[in-house]
Amino acid sequence: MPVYHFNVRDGANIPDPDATELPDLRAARVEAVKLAGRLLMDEPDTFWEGSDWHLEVTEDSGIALFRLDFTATDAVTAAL
Amino acid sequence: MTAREFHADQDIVREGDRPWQSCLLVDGFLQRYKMLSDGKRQIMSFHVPGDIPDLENLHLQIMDHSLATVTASRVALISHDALRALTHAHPRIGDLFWRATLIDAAIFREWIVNVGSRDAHSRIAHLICELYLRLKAVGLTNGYTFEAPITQSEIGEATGLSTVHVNRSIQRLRSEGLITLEKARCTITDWDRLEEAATFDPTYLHQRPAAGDMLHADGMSSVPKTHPAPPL
Repeated sequence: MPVYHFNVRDGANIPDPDATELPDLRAARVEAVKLAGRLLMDEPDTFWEGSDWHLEVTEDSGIALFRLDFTATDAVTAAL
Repeated sequence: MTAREFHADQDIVREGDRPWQSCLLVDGFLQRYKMLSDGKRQIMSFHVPGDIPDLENLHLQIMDHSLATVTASRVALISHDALRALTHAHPRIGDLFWRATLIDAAIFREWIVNVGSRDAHSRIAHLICELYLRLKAVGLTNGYTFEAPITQSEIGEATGLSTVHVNRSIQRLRSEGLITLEKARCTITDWDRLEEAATFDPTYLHQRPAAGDMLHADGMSSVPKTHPAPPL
C-alpha cells in the first residue's frame, strides 16, 4: 500500500516522520480532512495565534500531493 | 476447565452468540469490540492476563459485543455450570466475580470520558497509563516498561482517532520525553508528567483499598474528608 506523510504547519507543528500506509489517494484525502478537523478541534488556540494553518500531504518520496488551508478572515478591516 | 490457544486477531465469542462458558485470559491480550455497519470497528476495552472479560455472560444470555484476541493468546474456558456451582458453594467468590464486573464497568465509564472529553494527546496518554497499571497488577511490567502488542490502528479504534492522528500523538508523547515506544515495547520515562498529560486518576481501577479508607468495627468504611465542604 502507498505511504503518505501528513505535515501540519501551524507554528507549533510536528512533521510526520512515521508515515501512514493507506490504500490510495482517495483514502489519503479523507484522512487529511478528518485529521485537520480533529487537530483544529483539539487546539483551537494554536489556529488563532498562528498566522497560517495548513496541512500538506506528501508521498513517501516527499513529493507534495495536495494541501488543505484554513484561514480566518475578520469582517472589520482597515481603519475604523 | 479447558485451555485453548487462539492466534492474533481471532474471535473468541461474537456478538449474537449465546455462550455457555466464560474465558479466563492466561497469557496474551484481548479486546472487546463492536463492528459498525460501515465496516468500522470500535474497541471498547482491552484485557490483560487474569481478566475474565465475559464473566457477565453468566447472567446475560446473549453477547451484545464481540470478544477477540489482539495478540496470540491462551485462555482457560470455564463452563457456566462450573462457575455457578463454584459461586453457590462459595458465595464470597460470587462477590469477587461481582466486584470484577463492577470494576469493568468503572473502566468503561472512564473510557466514555476518554473518548467524549479528552483531546487526542490525552486519550493516548490515558490508555498508556491504564495499561501500565493493569499489567503491573499482574506482575507483567519491568520497572516502567511493558509489552503492549497493540497496533496504532487498534489504538485508534479504542480511542476514536484515525491512525494518522494516533501516530502524531505518539510522536508528541515521545518528543515531550514522556514515553519511548519501540515496536510493542513501551517505557514510561516520566510517569508524573504522563499522568498529568492524561489527567489520569487511578481510582477507577480500584486496584487496592483507597489510601485513607478506614474500616470501622461495624464493617462500614468511611473516607476522611480531604476537600472543604462547598459553600452554602
